[in-house]
Amino acid sequence: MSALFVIGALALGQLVTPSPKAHLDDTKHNFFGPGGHALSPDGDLCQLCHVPSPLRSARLARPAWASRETQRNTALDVRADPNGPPLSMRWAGSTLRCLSCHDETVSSIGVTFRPASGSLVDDPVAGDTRRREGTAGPALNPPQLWSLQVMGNHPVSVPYPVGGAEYRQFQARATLVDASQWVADPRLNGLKLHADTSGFDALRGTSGVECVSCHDPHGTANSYFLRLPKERSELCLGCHRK
Amino acid sequence: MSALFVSLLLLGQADVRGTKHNLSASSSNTVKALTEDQVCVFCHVPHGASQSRAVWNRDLSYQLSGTLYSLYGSSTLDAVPDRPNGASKLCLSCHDGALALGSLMNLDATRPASVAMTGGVTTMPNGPTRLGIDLRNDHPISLQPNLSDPELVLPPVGDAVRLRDGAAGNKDSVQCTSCHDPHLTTSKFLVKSNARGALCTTCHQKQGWLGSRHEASNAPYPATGSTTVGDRACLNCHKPHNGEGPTRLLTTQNLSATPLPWAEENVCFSCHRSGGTGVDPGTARAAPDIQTQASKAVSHPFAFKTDEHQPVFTARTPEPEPVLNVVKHVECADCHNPHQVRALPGNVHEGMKGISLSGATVVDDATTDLKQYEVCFRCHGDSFATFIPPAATRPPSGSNKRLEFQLSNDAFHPVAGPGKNQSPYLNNVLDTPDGQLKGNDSTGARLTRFSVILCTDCHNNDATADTQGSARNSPSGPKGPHGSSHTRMLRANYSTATGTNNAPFGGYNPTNFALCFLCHDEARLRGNRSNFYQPGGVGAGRGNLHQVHLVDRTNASCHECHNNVHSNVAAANTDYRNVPPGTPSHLVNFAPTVGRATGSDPWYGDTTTRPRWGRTPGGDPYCFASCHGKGNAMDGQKSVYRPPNP
Repeated sequence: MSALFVIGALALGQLVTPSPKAHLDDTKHNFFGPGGHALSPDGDLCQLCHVPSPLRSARLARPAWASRETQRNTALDVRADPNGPPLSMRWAGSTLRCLSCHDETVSSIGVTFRPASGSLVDDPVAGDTRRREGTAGPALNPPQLWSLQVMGNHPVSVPYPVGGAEYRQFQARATLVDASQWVADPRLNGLKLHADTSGFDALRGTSGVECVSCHDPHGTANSYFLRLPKERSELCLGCHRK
Repeated sequence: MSALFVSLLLLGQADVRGTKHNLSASSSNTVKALTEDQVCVFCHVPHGASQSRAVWNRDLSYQLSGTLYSLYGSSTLDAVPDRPNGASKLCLSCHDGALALGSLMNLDATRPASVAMTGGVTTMPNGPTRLGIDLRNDHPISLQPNLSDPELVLPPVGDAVRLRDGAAGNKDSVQCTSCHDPHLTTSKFLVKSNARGALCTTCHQKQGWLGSRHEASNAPYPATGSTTVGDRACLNCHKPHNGEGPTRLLTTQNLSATPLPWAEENVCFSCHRSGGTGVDPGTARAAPDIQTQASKAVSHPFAFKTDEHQPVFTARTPEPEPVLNVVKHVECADCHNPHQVRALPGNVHEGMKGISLSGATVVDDATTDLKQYEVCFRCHGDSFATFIPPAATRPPSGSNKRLEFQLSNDAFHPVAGPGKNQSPYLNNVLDTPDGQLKGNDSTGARLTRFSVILCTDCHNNDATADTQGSARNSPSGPKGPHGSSHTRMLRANYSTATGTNNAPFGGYNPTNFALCFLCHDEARLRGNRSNFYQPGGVGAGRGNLHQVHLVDRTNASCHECHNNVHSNVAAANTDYRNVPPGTPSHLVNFAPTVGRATGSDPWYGDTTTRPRWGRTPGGDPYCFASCHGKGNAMDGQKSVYRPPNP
């Protein structure tokens, strides 16, 4: 083994080492402000996302946003063939929690809902007309509007071909995934896969990609809550072999 | 980490970071960002992309104009290219040179964003990768293959070459990504190697390509390079992007020297020139130097027209131009199919189309070889008046060769079949004491009265005059009617000057008729092996009237009595008398300089308007022309002769 290879391997090893986590208190997800008393003794901050189990089971007195956790929607329609059968995709639990803020009804960094164009081909970018920036917009989209296409975002609630498993791509009419295009197990790179219970019945229980695959909402040493640095696209290449 | 280590790391990377598509500041590429260090972001962004699929980070709305791009077109293209769609749109957003490389939809939540590139680069710099918005000289994209073309197939399932998403999102279209994967570290981002044309032939399965001369050639090209003609395969002649010849993506790249200007013939001359390729160790030959032939005094006028040629050997129907009758031109591909051509002694017209003796379009295929004259008839047949020099300058022999070589004619050189003259004098000197012919035919057999000859046995490179008989047997080359130092692209000198006893015929000179003597042995023609014969002799006791006319008396030229050596059909200056159909007329037809005889025909008592060759009531051949008419030396003589084999 040449010295160069060793150096290269060491360097590569360094590159893929997950970054150390930052403290939630130091992140933008501390809604009580930098240096504020985020983690109060009664757990207010955590409860913005994590509903204590007594509340969950009681189904009573839940805040409005929490009700979305139990909703299913058909919004994330990323089918390539507009003439193909609709693909009902459902948010996984964790992604639903993220979207409860990041659908641009609360956060300015969000998923953009755009009018259905009937085609991905000439879909005008002007679909951004439905973006609602900041916190001034309506608190929530009524569920009936969630059938709109969600475009321009990396797919979530999709399975991942761990170990080269023969998953089909998330499109309804798709060929087998070319496993060589994906890292065998991105978890070894510090990314996260979730058990996929999001509607692919045939694939239920397999591993999938959610928001938290790339983002750790509790804070990381990287920008944008990323689990790997975006510099030199390490994050992307943590899954994609390109 | 030192900069050196970073560089080494980048060089060794077998992913997109090691390619030209890594525009990040840390790449070692020439074209890269000033500071932005993300790689994927120049094409993809996880949020705020132009569409979900492949999350494109380029605002492609400028492409919505239906007139932005000029699309590829060709008379042999069955499919209809759409304006770019599918993934090709993303590729073009850099490679069309219209949108700045750093123009992104979203960069770190800035929408839109502009990334500064080094050196002040904005759009893609000029070079082979900048295709521009004129896509006419690029392989068509965003089109669904039309399989009515029998030379087109879909890539097999599982092949690296694939049809990709088209306008409707179905995997039915040729896109940039059918051949290129922008993430690969391969040469030109190709999805698989194109050595020996493997990539192109995934879809383009040209009939007869395997085993053809161009496919099998081991001649180095460029001449001093390490790749061969066979290695480069399709890319010898075609350039899938920015081809100099747009319509069929042809290239005049001339890899052994400097590129040639665009012209169809220069595609071929890139190799078929002096030093164009190295020597093929298998054949001990380099590519035949046709360019030099084309520069000779007389050649097929390859440079006469550009962009007028229509494909001949396409398998599609209807054929664009089976008979040349639209615009006068000649290109190499009017006679040769470069996808199928074989080297001599193989079929140089393999896979061509031609016109048969009956005037029908005929195709060279696996079972039937095209006859050479069928290729020539494409121009020299029914459409000769359009394609051979215009009427005002046309030599008297300008004529429809298809009609001239009909086997029902009285006299013709045996091109389409054995000749009418079956005299034993037309045997081979080696076969019979009466023989006059010498040399072998194109198959190597001795020339006899049963032989069939080729157009190229007379019309050929003058270097082939070093051999008796068919030019095919010459050790010299390159063979073929590409060019010659002799008029009419003849293989050897053949003087068509007329005017008996005048210059240049002050004396008999066999070099004036060197062409004829390649097959007709001069010694025997002038000896006693001639059918132009009068027993008992004329004048000085000689019976051979060829000797009398050529040498002894008048120093006539062959051309005066055999004005058109192809056939007697188009003889405009000859009055045949008493020559029943099928009776050999011995290719006697008079030059315009030969006048009619005044007075009455001594055999038939009539007068003529043209010089006459006929047969007496007894069947003996005779002439009745100005040479033998009133007021001339032979005035009043009955110019009959009695050959032993009439």
